[in-house]
Amino acid sequence: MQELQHLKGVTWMSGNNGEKKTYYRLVPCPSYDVEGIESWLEDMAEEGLFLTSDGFFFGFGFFHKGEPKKVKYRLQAKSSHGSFVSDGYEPLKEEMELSRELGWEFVVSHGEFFIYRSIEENVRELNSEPEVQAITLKEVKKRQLSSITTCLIWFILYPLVKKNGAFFVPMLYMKTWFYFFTAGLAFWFVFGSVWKFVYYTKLYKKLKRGEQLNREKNWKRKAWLQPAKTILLIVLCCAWGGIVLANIHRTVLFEDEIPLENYFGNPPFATMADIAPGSSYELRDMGYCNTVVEWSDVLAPVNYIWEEIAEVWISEDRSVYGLWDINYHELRWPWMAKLVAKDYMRMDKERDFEIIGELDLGIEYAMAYIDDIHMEKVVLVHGNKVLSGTFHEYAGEQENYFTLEEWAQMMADSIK
Amino acid sequence: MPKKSMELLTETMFYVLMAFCKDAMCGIDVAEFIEKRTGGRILIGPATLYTILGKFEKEKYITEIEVEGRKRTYEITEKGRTAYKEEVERLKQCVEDARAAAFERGDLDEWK
Repeated sequence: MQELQHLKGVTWMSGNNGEKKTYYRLVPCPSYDVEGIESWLEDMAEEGLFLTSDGFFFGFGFFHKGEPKKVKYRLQAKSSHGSFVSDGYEPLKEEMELSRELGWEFVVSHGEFFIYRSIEENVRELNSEPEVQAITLKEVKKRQLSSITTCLIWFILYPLVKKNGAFFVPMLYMKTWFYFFTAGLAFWFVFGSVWKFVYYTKLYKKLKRGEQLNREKNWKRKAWLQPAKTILLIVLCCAWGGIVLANIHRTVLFEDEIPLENYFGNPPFATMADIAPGSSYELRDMGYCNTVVEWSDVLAPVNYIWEEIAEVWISEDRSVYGLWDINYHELRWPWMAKLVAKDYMRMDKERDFEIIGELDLGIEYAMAYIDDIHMEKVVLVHGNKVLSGTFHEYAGEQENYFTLEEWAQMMADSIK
Repeated sequence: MPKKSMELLTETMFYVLMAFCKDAMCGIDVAEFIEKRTGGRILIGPATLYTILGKFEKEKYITEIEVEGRKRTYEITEKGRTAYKEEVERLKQCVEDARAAAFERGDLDEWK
């Protein structure tokens, strides 16, 4: 970044070591408020504070202190006409040189704008024709529209598409309050982008009409609002980031998973031990599975993820050995249960997905299908309870002991 | 029939084309030419000038012929020259229409 040229005619105040001391001020206007920023910077100069080449960072402006002076500040939209393509950090050298010859000094890049200033009282305006200034602002509008589209795609469309449109199950797994916290932040960014676009459009129309910008805009009227929004956003993003890191940490260390051998709870659904009550039962250590995760949520007070690989001896010479996998939820309202059930099917709808059909198991809803990894699966709903389950028998060359209908019936009976 | 967008030259754009019709120039020379030609009435701002130069280059009204350090020199193209001449004719017609309207009103003093 270009070194800031010494502002001519300004007596600087230095610190003890002779260097210019930096002062920090909260920016009272959003970065897109061209009129507000220009007015504010000019008022700062009249108090002896002059923007440095470090510009802005996290809602703070960096200033050096000097003798108060009348200084003009102007924001010039970044453009990319013809061969004039700057790197985004500073204008082309030729443009800076011409600006300097005509009394304007480039200070710093700020968002979609380059900030210039002049201490000459009778300097010609940086933009002498509003209609021409509108041309560069039109480019800024286009870029902002592109930014809105990107926000919509990454914050809203992509999460939905990734889960095949499923909404409730991801929400329960993330915890409803955190899901809405994340959604709230996403909407903040999307709404902010839209608002910026609306503001740029108003400014563009003003310039197209040939009107000059208002360099004496009263930025003090809502000077508290922007810093408050900035501080709030920083706090919320840090909190969000902290929660995500804590969750990642817990997931990597499997802190939420309880080994079944150490679990003495009473799950409200059938497990492999219930296949043949009283029979010999043994968990099989495969190096994975055999865990339970249990949690409560504001919209679903009871939630389980149960993954069990075990062997049950049905008779002396016959055992049943396989994977018993259950996702179970008790929703606050019955109408949510059917939506959650449909979400599970949506999430499994990848290639090779195939509906087997509805099963008559004596409960409100029972659907069987082949999921994306070729396993038979059922989704069961009864009242406010939802169970998504699979039983995959490792029968080898023998036929499976239980048919789909038989093990699905066991699961269904347990949630009646 | 309404004009298309680039055919609507603003006053400053018109004078920039005028400068290039005189000779190939770089940015600062264009600014000085306009100030001199208009007697200081039009002081083109650097940002305005660069926006116009970029727009004209995109529309192929001018073309870059030399780059020397931080100086880029441009010359007008046939398309640019045609656009300038069309604008001159349009402005001449405007003046003629104004003269005729003043004659109809019997108000010829302003044309003396």
